[in-house]
Amino acid sequence: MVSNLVIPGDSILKDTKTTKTTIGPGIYKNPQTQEIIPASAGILNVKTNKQNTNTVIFTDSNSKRYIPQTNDFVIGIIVGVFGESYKVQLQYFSTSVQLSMMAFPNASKKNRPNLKTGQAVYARVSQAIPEIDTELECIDPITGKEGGFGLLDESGYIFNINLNFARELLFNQSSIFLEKLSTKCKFEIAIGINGKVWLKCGDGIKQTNEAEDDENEKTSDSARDLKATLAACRFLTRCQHINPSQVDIELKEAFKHF
Amino acid sequence: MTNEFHQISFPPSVLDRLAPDISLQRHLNLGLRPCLRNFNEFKPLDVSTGNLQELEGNSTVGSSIVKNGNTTVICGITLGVIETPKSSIFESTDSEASYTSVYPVVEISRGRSGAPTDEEMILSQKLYETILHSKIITTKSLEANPGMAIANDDGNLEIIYPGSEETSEIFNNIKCYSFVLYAHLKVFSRSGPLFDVCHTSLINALKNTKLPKVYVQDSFNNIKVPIRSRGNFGHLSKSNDVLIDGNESLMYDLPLNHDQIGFASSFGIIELESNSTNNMDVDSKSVILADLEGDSEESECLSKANIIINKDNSHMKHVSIIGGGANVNIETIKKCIQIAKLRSMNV
Amino acid sequence: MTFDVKTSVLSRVDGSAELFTGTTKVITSVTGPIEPKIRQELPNLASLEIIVRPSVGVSTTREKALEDKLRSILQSIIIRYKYPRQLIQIVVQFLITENNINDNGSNQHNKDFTLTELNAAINCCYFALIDANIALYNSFSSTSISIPSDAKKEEYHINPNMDKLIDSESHHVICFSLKDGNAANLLLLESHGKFTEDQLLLVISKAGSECETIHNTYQRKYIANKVENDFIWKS
Repeated sequence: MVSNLVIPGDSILKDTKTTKTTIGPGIYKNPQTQEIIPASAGILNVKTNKQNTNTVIFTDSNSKRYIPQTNDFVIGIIVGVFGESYKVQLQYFSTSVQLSMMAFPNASKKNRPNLKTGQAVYARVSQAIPEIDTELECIDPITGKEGGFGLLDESGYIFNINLNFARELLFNQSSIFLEKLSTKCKFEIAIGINGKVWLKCGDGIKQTNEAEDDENEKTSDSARDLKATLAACRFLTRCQHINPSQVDIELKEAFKHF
Repeated sequence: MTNEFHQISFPPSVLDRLAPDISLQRHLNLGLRPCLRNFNEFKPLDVSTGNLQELEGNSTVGSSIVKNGNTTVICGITLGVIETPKSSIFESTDSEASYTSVYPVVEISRGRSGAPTDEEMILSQKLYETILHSKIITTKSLEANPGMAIANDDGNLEIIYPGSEETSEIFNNIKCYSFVLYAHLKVFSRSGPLFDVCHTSLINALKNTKLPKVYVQDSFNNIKVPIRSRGNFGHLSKSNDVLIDGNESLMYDLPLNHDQIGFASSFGIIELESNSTNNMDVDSKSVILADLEGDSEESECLSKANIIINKDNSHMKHVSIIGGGANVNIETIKKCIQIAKLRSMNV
Repeated sequence: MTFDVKTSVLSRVDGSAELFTGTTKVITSVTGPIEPKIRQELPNLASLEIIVRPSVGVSTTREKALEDKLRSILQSIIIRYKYPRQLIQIVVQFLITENNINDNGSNQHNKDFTLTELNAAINCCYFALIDANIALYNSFSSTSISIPSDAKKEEYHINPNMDKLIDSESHHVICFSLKDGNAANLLLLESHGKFTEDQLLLVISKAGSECETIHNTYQRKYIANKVENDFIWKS
């Protein structure tokens, strides 16, 4: 059984007057009564520092729908151009967000990025206020350089995972899944906290020219990379629903044709 | 230099639209409602019946006009006749299956036409369900035993009805018919929730309803047999069109279960934020407002209650309470029932 | 009483649940917060779109009335201020209902009770909303009660089936919000038939404890199950 499960309606945290309390996801403060309540069902985390002056409280729960928060790393698809910025979709049916053409390294009025509808970008949420449009940027805010953000090339494969699993893959340094995967193949990965993963094994998926394929060595290479990409994607998708003890079996199953 | 800070003030009607919550709370704190009624004071109700002869080309069998404050509801009952399976449904005992309802169509006039709004559909459905579950109209009472028009020796039609003479065997092969009641409710100048006033209007129209006699035309004398199908008389049937007898002396009151009829009252419940200066003392108490009126009351009172209580106050026919806004506790419910009882006695 | 719940049954929506109560089976999906149509958008809170579909045929006013009742509960239980300018779409599809059982084709409408459906829909919505991780002020659950004629206090039927409903003198659907496992606020009460004030008050108090039972035995259990499944990969 899950320990410290909370569901809406439970009461948490008695004492908010003496210690400074920071509330995180899944916790709501009623603006009228100042009462702190759990708004979603999940695992309650309460972390207090040693001096007992600061408390952080949040619940960890799964969901599929992403709500933008500042500083999140996300994968988005360009769906249109609107004036000086791109319209980017983070999930189907979600309100699209803005990515200014100036929010790229070395961008200027004359030197604009050249992105097309349908292309994917890895970006950081620079501003997320629910009442107004959310904004992304493709610059590392500290260095002002590219910092891994920008266009994700078309040789990678994008698939969806649950949001809690995306957080695990991105934030948990000791997470075993990517480590296990690296024993089977060489890969490049970008994980969006919005539940999208961009994955590329070897040289990734190449568009082959029909005319010159056949038993050409290059195509068999790219066919292998394609297979590996799909196997890796299958492995990660399956990992969401299995016990950690079964990871090795699942890995073997996914890569059985290699 | 001083930055002058102008305090903006609005006339009540403007504030009411800009900040309905503040406007309403301020009114209530003064012990008044925006419509200037007392908390438990209902809008004046005025009922008249039987004024309507025709509605959209159909002649009505019952009607009522209800005025509730500025809101007017006109209700007309029209009839339909349907064929029913012979004597199968009329035998059941006193259970839900032997009761029926009317089919109401509520129309709230807003100065434009178009598809019915959600509110109109929901109101219609609620009225239908309430009448059905209230067990006011029995299926039997809508049974229409048709008479028969027979040509006399001198060529005139004469209508005879079952049970009158020794003619019963004539009626054996006539099919069974029953009435269907349709109610058309038109609402003018809506100013608040409408369920109670529509219910009152519908009930009064039903009380006023007179059912006519129906008869079938003995159509043997004008049977036309197509030449081609001569010799094949298998399909020849009397075309029994059901006709309504216009003779007003033969009309009879729609039988209703009068002791099951109730009177509807509606309430809104809201937490009163007392503006006491000792701020930590969140001293909110809920207030019952009878007959919500106006936008600010309707949009801010998320808790609503409808209570239908019968004339002698011995029991209730329908209660629907929506909580959520204010805390609706047992005491509040009791109080609502108390007010509803008082009102139903006085009406 | 049967109370069978499966969550996350649909893969392409954000949250879903299927509930079987012995007589009624219903599946509910929740999608949101998503981008609303312009006419639905509210500047400071989330708008709700609730769609009810019957087990047979197309939606009628009957389903519209159910939608209205569901909305009255959900709009006050969802923390709509958390999702300004967004839309939450809730679709309730009935799979099995008793109303379709149509003996000898006569007078279908006399069996027109919506309470078993309303009751199942409310309870199912709860699990679907939890599954979609939509912020809620409180938990909620609902129950239905029918009173047969001349019934004594202990003869009230909780979650009556169609036969009991037809013989009943009055029937009620009650939904409570739950705080710390206790019934807190009355969210909805729908009573039809003929009943006294004492009967009504008794029904409310019975329903309160029944709602607590649903919450403490079923809702907690299924949610614990669900959360466990969601984090199964956690070592």
